[in-house]
Amino acid sequence: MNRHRLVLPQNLKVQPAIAPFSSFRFVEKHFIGINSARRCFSLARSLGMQTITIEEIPCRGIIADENDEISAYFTDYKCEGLIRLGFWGKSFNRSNQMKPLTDNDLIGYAILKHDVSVSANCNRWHVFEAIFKKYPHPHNCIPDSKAYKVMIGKKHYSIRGVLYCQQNALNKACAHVALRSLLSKHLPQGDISFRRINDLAKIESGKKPGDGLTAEQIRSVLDGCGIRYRDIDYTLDENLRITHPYQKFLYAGVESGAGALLGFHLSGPLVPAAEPPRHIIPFFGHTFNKDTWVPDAELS
Amino acid sequence: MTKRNDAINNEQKKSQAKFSSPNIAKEMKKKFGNKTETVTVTMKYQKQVGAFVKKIEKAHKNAGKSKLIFTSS
Repeated sequence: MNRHRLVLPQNLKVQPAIAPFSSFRFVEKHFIGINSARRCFSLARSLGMQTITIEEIPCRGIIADENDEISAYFTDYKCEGLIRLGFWGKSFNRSNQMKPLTDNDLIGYAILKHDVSVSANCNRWHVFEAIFKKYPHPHNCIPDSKAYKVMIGKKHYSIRGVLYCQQNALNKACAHVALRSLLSKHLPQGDISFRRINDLAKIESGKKPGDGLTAEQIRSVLDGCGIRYRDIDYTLDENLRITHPYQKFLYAGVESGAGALLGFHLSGPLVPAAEPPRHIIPFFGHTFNKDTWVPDAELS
Repeated sequence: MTKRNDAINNEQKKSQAKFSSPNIAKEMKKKFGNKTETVTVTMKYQKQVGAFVKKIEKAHKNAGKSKLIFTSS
């Protein structure tokens, strides 16, 4: 199940990431400015990024599997690019200077994939997966994080963190990526393909996995993977919000190291009020830091 | 020990048996043998905890009928 992240690159470029390098321009130029890639660069910069390695990699393992699955839904689908970015805390200019690099020098990595399908109106990059080290602040905690192996250049590295994945609205929606993030931590085989998630969810004929998963399908996936869990739908009993508030319920999952999933409906001016769409995200840890711009923006 | 205490102890053993792992018990027995003494602890909040857990189990069962769908980015 690690095959997709342990492939040898077809080529490798080294990009120094110190001034005057601009992450913003780099993402704009290479990845059509996707916000999730910007977030990766922002995290890497806050962790002391000095150098980036850019590798074109072949589609193998669960990525090749994903391409086959998407092609079954959209026959004109093509994977136009697959890039592995390595973010390093050490400064170097050439690939032949990578030999002394160790796990400690690796801040994180991201695999970005370019999906193109005219019939699906899709021509965009997404982060297939990314893992970054937790920043060393005492006020945050990820109980029982996992070490993942990744190849960069010709060498294997190990990085401890949580797996981030992004949806592409073709073969995976928010529920798929939330499930893979959590399951990759617990399954003995170390990961799960989106095709396997869709098989376990039993997508009805005529529907596409990119349209999302129901609560029942999410339960089927967890049951199929042999994961024990407890599920609460607050819309069925409003009283549960008082007796079993979601934050306490989630805390049990987070603190035990198992993790948790939280679903909610979206709101805002662009969201249809009659039937607001629902989103679901995985939880792995907690923080007391005001480490996003939102609290600062709200205070100012 | 009174009959009432015996009954309470038996009840506690039964309820503990539901939550403990037989493998852990075996390992504990290997390590400590008869060196340990049984300590009786009054389960002050057994009722409250039991009611709390039961409600979660009921909610979990009901959530099987949930029609929610998660779609959005």
